[in-house]
Amino acid sequence: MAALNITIAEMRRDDDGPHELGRTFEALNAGQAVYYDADRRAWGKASAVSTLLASGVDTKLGLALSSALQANASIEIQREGNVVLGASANVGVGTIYILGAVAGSIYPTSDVKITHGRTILGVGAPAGVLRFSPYASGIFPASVLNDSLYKWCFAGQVTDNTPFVSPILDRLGYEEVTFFLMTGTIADADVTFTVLLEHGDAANFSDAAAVPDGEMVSQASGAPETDAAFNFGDDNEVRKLGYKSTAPKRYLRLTVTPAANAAAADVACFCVLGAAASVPVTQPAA
Amino acid sequence: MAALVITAAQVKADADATVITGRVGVAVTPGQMLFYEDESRLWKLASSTGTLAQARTGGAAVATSAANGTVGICTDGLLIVGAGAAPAKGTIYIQGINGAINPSADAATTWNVTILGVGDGNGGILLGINPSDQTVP
Amino acid sequence: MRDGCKTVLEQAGITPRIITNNTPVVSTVVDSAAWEWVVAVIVTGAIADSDATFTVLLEAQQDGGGGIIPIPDANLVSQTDGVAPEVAASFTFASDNNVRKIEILPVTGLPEYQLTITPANNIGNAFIAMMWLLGAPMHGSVTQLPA
Repeated sequence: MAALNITIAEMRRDDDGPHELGRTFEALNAGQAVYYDADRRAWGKASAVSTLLASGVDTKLGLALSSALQANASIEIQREGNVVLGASANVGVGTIYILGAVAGSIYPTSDVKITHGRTILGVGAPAGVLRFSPYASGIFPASVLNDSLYKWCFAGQVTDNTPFVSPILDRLGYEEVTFFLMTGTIADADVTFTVLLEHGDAANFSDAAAVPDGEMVSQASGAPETDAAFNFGDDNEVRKLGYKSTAPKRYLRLTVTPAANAAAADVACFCVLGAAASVPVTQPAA
Repeated sequence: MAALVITAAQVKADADATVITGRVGVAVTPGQMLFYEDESRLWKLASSTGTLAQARTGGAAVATSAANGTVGICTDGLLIVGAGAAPAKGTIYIQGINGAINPSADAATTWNVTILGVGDGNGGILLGINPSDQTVP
Repeated sequence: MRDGCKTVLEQAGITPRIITNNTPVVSTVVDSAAWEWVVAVIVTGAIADSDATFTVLLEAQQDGGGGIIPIPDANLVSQTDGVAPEVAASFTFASDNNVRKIEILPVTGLPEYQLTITPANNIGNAFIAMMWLLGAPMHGSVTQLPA
């Protein structure tokens, strides 16, 4: 589904619900949901992805009945009651409508996204009518999941000294890098695993260099790679290692190298790239 | 999805919520949504699948009563339905069948749509009751 | 750059292992009570079977021994917009060397969760692991224990 597609020429008031005249602080169209900004003493497009105020909390909400080609124009605003949005809007009878992704637009509840502020606009009625009765709850459910990209590094079992080597990871667009490791059963009685993080600016990693300790974040208080390392006595444990450089490079690779290993060792690792340049991130299936 | 399963002992109106007193025409338990019946001047169980009048929810009972008793009815503000019901944060809740509270996704054909409010993720529903008088076709 | 290491606690959910049949694998229970967010991360290795499927289920533990109940989709966040959260986190025989993520929006009163991976049609080696990530501690700083 998507926002209602309103043809301005089809719009009109359907009853004598409360309405008022107001000034705009931006251009907007008839049929858009609007909120009143008391500081500017003007109306603008309401939004579910902006501020609490813009979602209608502690202020007036309305439906623009006329368009404003620019800021400082005068418009008529319906505050409550039935509004004919028109046949082109394809209003669903009994459908609950809310603010959504695009400021001013009217969406069915099925289009709600997890982080959108919940502002109810009204319920659809026959003949293209919206029974406009806005309610700004102020609830903005927070989610972090799609603020970060999760990258597979390695997962498997070795029975010798074959290293676990991650793909060359491209952190472009992300300013936060953390590696998370897990161990399963480590059968060997004296194996040790060392951790190495490398970085470089070449896509083929031809300039790879070990990351200095000062450019990594440890899970404890020791040297980061040492704290992330593990041995034969560390079955079923977790480790983490952050990358935090003042002169960060674009590409990274994590390597975990066993020594003195002659039995099965199960290890898995993934990397979380956060502080994205734009959210939500798209998590590929693989 | 399904109606919230409410533990009566966990229901209460927030200190700043609006609570009125009303006489009920049926036995009610805390958390059940009620409508005001003009003819009898009694509050009864609101329902999405009865008449339009029955879907004009007025508020939630916040106490237990037998028929013809008097209860507090929360009509606005934060209604706490409890950790057992656990209304999801951001979910829009609507009137369900015979006093029930359902997520909006449960609205089915022939349901008369009445918006109750939005879950706060902390055991409560921020009430913004709005009977639409519209029936899902 | 920003530090994403010190503000997140990791906890083993399903330790890395090879599974060879259809026995469901149940994670440890995570207690999210003192955290703002909790994410389950699944990591796969080689999956040998040619038609196995792996279904993910997230459940909450009720207070007072009330048992385990499924978590509704409204309390979960999907890694893929438009796909139900547990469906997006599930995987198949073609998902070798993948990662999946799913977030639980913590609900007051029900802070304890577990994740179950249930294979079907599996008769080969499948390498799986799952980790809980807890973030934004409500009190103090994060002390990461190794296990």
